[in-house]
Amino acid sequence: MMSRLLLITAIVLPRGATKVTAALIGFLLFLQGCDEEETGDAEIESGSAQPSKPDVLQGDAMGNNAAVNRLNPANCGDVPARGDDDWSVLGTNANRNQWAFRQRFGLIDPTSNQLASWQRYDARLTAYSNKDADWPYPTAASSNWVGSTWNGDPLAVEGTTVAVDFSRIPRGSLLYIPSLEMYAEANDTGATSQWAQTDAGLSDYGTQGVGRVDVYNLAGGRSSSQVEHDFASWVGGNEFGQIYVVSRGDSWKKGIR
Amino acid sequence: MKKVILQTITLLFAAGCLSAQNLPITADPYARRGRTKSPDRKYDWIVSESPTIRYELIDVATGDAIANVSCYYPSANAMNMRYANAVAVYWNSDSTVVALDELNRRRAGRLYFFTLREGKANEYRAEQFIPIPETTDEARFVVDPGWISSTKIRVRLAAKSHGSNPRSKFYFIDFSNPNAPQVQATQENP
Repeated sequence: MMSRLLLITAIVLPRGATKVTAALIGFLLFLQGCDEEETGDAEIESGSAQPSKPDVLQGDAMGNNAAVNRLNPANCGDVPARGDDDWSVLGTNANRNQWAFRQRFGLIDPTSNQLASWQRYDARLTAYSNKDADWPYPTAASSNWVGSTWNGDPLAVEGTTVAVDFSRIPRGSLLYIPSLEMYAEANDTGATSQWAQTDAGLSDYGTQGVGRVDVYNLAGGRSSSQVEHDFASWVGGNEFGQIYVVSRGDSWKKGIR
Repeated sequence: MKKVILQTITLLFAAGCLSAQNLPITADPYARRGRTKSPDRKYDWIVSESPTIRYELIDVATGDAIANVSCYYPSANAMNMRYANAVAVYWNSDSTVVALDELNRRRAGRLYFFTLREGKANEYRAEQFIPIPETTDEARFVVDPGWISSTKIRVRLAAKSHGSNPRSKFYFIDFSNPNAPQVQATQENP
């Protein structure tokens, strides 16, 4: 666009001014080139709320494979996907992220003793994705919160990020969701008063309830409703169930990063 | 020579203005939108932190709060203060109506309207004018894009029902009669 404009400028200007114009155009092109160099990484550094175009394209490509990988865990490369421990419905990298998360923080499938020592609460498992309305303006796990996720990803991480009511579960808490056999980081939040209003009287807002645990999905080529449908099929009858708060707040990952 | 440089700069400036009509793909969502102070400079919105986070409409002459509402995330901490400070304030041109639009964080936040008359403020929620269908799972009103005239503002309802894709609906709210604002559905590009 700028190049075309400069070309038109050069054509419409008087002939006597050619040298001056050429110098000016050269200088402006140099400046434009410098600007373009900066935009790529600066987006992440400065805290943009929207993924860059390459991120979106990559996300779409990964998400397109999500349903396939769910049926064929072998597609996940070296990542062990076995039994119910297959989170690929959350996005193609969900298995990899969950296993890397476990490895980084030494997390294993909990024993009954461990489960007994953690705080257990009623919760409702719901799904959200990067195809939701008004995404991502803004989400707590967006690039405005660089460093908030366990792997430094400036956006929500499929396979490990969940959104919770921060007044019930402190931000950064480590959760375990038994029905999904999944460890998760409570890094995001949302319309918590609407959740409470909608779920008033249900178990997740009962005396032992922590409200909704909204599990992040990288939608890829799927629509928001398809993501919701996939997630509902995956969770089955376990939408209302229990979660464990393994560690409240983000102290559990300090010193390990 | 001067003429040449002036022509070039003018042309580039015009191009810059045209391209600036489009919002940037990346932006800081926490940047303050609108102006807290009314056009007549008589009122100002402030964020109060103690004991919980609240928005207060201050009469500048007296320093008194003539209206206040709780922030969506009221607990006083740095993260919630950052959210609260990102509120949008849209005054109409004659300082008689103001929209207070909290930051839309995944449908969190609320949209309020205040009508002002003789130093007193009346509070309204957008839902009072435009009821949200019961089948809606999550919904959020936002100002989009702002005041169309001194009495008419356009808002957008982002609504989602379980198992369906989110939809946006647009409405005008006309405050010509501040006691009985009128609502009219409209299109995104009427």
